[in-house]
Amino acid sequence: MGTRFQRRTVELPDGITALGPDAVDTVHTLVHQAERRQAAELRDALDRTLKIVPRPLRGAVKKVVGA
Amino acid sequence: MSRDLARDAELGRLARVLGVEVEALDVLADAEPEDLRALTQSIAEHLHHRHAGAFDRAIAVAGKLPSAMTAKLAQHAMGPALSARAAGLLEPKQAADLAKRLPPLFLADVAVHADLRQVGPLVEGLSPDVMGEAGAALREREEWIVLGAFVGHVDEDALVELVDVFDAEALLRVGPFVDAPERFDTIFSALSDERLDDLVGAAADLDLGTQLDAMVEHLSDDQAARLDAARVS
Repeated sequence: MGTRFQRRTVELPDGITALGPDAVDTVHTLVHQAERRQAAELRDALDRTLKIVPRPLRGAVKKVVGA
Repeated sequence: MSRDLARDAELGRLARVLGVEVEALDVLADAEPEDLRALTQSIAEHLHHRHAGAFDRAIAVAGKLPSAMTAKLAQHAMGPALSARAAGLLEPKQAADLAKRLPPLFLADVAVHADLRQVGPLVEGLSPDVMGEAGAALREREEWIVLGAFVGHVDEDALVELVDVFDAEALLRVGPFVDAPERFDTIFSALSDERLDDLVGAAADLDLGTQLDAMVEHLSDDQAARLDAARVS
């Protein structure tokens, strides 16, 4: 799973922590990857949304989503 | 349910939440099922809140657009993964209204990505026909965990109709993932004697006897007796 992952993402149950540092690092790494994937999907979705929404509504949509 | 079966089920649920293959979780192979379940819930909650602000804004946009446009955006801009997340933030009635406007195959895609603790409103407003079509697509993709989560949210009459959509292998493989095991009795009561024979045969042929036994624990005496009769026939 690569280098030891420093960032703690979620609180782990004691039984998971007891499995050892490899298990703990793997969980945090996978959670971090899931977060990054989700953020990228959101950015792409916003781009697609702005292409689909009729032009007169795009300003309002941008304002709401803060784009 | 055996500890191994329970552990496999929980690893499957965790892999789904993380968006990885279950093999990526090999380091957790010795974890207790209860710890895996707690971990899955913790991670689902964490991911749910991670980008909550962006999703809140998406919901705000949806509230300003006509429903048909919202459905179009869900299908063609958001895609199934983000639609599933957003659906979990909608009011139940909004989620049900949106689900009715989306094609069954897209709903099946959404279901695969949904937080399974929040699938109720997505499922409850759908007609049995739409549920059947989406269910058949999920069966085809062998999405046993998703189907198992749905069982608890489908009303009894619809569940009886849906049983016809699923073959013996599907019923056996979904069994460990059903969060509402009291529904097994409804499912078995909807199976003809011939289909019970098929179920017993499939359990033997596919080495799924453990899965069948796990369901038997939750059957009424009447249905357990029918299954016993099928086993000796």
